[in-house]
Amino acid sequence: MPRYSIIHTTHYLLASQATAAWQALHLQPRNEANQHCDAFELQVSPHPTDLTSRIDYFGNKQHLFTLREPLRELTVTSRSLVRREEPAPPPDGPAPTLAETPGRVEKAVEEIDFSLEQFLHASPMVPLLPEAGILAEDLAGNLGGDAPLPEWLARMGAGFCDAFTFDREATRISTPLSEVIVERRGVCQDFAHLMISCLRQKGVPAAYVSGYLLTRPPPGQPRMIGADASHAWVSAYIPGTGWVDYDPTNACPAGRRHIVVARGRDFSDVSPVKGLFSGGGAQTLNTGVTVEETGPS
Amino acid sequence: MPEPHAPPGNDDLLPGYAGLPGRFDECRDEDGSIRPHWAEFLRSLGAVPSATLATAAEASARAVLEQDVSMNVYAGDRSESKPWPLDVVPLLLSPADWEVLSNGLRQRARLYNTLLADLYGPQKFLQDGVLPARLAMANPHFLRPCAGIGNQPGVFLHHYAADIARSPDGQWWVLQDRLDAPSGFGYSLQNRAIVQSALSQPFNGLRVGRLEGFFRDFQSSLSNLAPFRVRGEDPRVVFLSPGPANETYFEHAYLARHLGHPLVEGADLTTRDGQVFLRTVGGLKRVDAVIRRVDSSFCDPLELDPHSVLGVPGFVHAAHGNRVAIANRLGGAALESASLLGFLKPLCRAVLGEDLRLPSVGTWWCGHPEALAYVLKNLGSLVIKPSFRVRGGFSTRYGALLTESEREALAAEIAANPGDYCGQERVFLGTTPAWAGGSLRPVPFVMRLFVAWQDRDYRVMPGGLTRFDPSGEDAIVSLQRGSVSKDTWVVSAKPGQAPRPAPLAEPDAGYQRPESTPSRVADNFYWFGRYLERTAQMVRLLDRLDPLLRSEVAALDPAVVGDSLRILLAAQQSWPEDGATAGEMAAQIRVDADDPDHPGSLAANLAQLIRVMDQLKVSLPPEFWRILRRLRGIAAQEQPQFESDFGQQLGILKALGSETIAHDLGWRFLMLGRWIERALQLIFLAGEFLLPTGREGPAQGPPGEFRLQTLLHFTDTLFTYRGVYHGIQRPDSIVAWLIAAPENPRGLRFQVDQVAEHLAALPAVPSQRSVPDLKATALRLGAAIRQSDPSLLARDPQLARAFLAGARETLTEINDRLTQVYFSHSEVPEAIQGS
Repeated sequence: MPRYSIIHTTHYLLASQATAAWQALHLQPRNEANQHCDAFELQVSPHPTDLTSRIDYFGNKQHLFTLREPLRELTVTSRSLVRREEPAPPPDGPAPTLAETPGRVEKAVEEIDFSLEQFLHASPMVPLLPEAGILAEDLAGNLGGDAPLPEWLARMGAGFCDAFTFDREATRISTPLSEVIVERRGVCQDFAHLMISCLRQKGVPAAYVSGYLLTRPPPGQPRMIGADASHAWVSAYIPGTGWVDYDPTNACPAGRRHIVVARGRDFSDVSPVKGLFSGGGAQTLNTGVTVEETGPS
Repeated sequence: MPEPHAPPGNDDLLPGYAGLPGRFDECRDEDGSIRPHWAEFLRSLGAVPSATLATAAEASARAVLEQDVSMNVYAGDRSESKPWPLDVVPLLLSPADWEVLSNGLRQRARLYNTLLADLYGPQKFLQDGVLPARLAMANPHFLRPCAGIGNQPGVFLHHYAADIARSPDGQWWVLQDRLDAPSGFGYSLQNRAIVQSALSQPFNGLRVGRLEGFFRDFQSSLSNLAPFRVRGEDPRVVFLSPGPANETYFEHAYLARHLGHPLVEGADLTTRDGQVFLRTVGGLKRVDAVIRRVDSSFCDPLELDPHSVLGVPGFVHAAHGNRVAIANRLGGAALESASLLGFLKPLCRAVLGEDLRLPSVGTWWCGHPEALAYVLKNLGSLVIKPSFRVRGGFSTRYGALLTESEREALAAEIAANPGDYCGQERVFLGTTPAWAGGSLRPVPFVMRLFVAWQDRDYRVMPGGLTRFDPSGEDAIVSLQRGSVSKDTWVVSAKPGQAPRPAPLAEPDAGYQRPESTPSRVADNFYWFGRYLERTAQMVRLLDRLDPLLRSEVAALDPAVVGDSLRILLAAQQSWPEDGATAGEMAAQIRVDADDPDHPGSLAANLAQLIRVMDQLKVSLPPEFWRILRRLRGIAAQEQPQFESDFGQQLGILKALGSETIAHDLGWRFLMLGRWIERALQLIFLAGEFLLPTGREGPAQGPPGEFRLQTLLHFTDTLFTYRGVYHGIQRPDSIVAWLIAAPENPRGLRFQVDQVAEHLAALPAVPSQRSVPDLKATALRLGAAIRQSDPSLLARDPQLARAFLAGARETLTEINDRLTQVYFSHSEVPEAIQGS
């Protein structure tokens, strides 16, 4: 099983002195069927007095801390060791068609897991845009409602790669989705949000996954986009199969090189580092992520 | 047992009053007879009920104005204060009605409490499908960061309010439940105080249920909820309000005072180590319980709405730690969904194992296909509401009021996202008598009743806030849209049944500890003092303007007049045009004074004074409010009449400041503000007059006689000086009188001594180092003044300049340190003891 070492650094530089800071973090990789976080260490400078943690509503680990001394800079560094294996491919068994999906999902909500319902509706950063429904049909090309959901999903996801351009300058966290859909440019977070909107529009439960991507590829394989930052992708619920992760930025299923940190409805549920300062003026934010394969365990 | 019944046909009690067709009337029954409790009420009004009511209506209107009872009406982004609308005729509830209502509401409170604890806890009712998944999972008011809070011991829903109406068949229906931060408790209490006094005879005669017991238990239940109260110490409870712009701020202030808890805003609180602290002039104080009137989603910009400026970062995390009681706990708005009302009956069965006693208005959630079909079919008669109320979202529509095409559009809108809507039966509201221009007439009403947790069970406040639309319309009853309120009387069947009024428990001793004064309040007191003194000074200077231009000085020494005018200009941060005549400068002074947009002008200072007083209103007795109203009136005039009555009002304010407020820490800061400002004003005038910077540069020689006389005049010391020095004007004695004389209350020494005295009384708690420093600074200045040599200062302008500049610097330093140490807590807090 491949092992990864991840170092994620967030550095705030403030224009003037702040008197206090409050931060909430989603930085600790999840433990899941295909992934285990062997070690996690959090380093905050200046040193907070009250670093604590809580398991959030989605089962992610959230850390919180407060600083009550004058500060001009704040650095948060997390170090993780994670074992991650390739998720098993979805079983070949009968999957519902796209058209059958909403009915099957409704049943699943009633019988299996009511919380699927929250992945069907608008969430703080993912409005249900009618344009997204049209986009989904465009991207899926000639595949219609009678296509099996996994196939439709793969086609629609692949369409993202062609239709959208990865562009770090085009958007910010606050750029609304309706703009991304027109400009057709953005970063992984925008593509994830947009694909989520497409899926929910079609009645497919869709979640947001925040994590990391090993960008230095093994020999012979292409380099993937998303270096030097945290990555984001999508998880879709296929009735009868379960959650399947898909990376629209790279048009591929999320595999052994995708390390899951947190799952939620959208970015706002799992933002890696968020917080506020008392005073301090303008903030300059720098983030650095290094993911390295440390060899099989 | 029943009261003597007015025989049928004997309707003299209320001639000309008839209910509305097809509606239940509280006063007159179907046969046209006056109901017994109303008959008793009407009889208690004396021989001529209309005369009694007219007098009472007048008294209540006067009381509203005198006590400045108000609500803020939102207009766009701003909110505007309006007198509280109150009809003196109460709604009367019979013992039988009260039985039904109070039992029903207690059950509803228990039901909602269990549902909320489950929603923010194990979510069993979602797993079992008792609660439709969508109503929770797609609900923007379900606050995921608060999940888990429901697992903690203790009550989730501490208090709750329900809006209730009566249908034509006499049945009571709940129209909506308010579970997050319900408003109206305070207004009910205020209404009761006013109406009880305006109609004291009927009130006593009808043995009306008293509210005091309810609020006494409200107070004690909070103390008992506090999870980590220190043994032997009273728990510290605060009342968290969104602040003066909120529509119901008045009642926050009223309730906070009534309950004896400090009224605080988000900025007054802070969190650390999972606990909540109040910023006070004595440092950070741990809070044991919070009465919350800020909507949940605004309570924590870290984990909830990041744009909220009303919250406390870390509040959610503190709520998880359960080291502070929050009433209500965060997240109740999730179950305020109108669509949920359609499920309350089965929920009550499943959750409590009981039948729902008090029904909700008929509600069909369109998320279910059969219900959707029903709603679409009956669109013309139903009320359509959004499942989840959000700002700028779908607002309630009455099918009956829509055109055919509007109805079609609405049907399409619903069909596109059925789960977002519900249809509700339209209740044709029952009517009750209201006083209107000399007679009683029936008005459709909605009443809000209140429930609170009292240690073992819920208790319903025997009263309430009844509202009606004066136009007689019943579609939308909202105080934001011009509705009028009423007191609500629960009359008891038997004499002596009404509980004895008992006074509220004494506010806990902890709140009296002076260092508990919230920093923001102290800050406001300080600036109240400064703006008051500064505004008064400007009024005095403007008063001198005309006499100055007419005086003999003008003829004898025109340079002094020119300098005086320049000083008056400078006092408002203006400079004369080159070559301006005395008349032109005087005109400019007056124009500036009236201009609120001119920084430093009299009008701008008045605006600041009003702003600070508004912020402080809660901490000031009603005498201040009356002056505040007058000041607002003056400020609102097109051409403010500053000279006439204005100075008097400010004088009254100063006297009130000494006489009517407790000489506690707030008062200390008020006085510090006044004395520091007065000293700074004196330094300004003395500097300008003793060392005029004329066209030829700074004056070299000692000032002349007229100049000194004008200085005495401007500093309001001429009279006292003449009394002491028998009219002999010598530069050195004038300087001595203004600067070094301990007995001149308008002199610098006196002022600085006052500053030192008030500083000495401040607590040394927040920072062991800075506070003694601060006090020492004032003492050093006092010593410097005592040691100064007036004759030397009078002879040598350069020396005087340096001396005054030094004094100004020291006072500014004291100002800055006060701010830093007591108001902004910008220093590193020291270890907190006892936590």
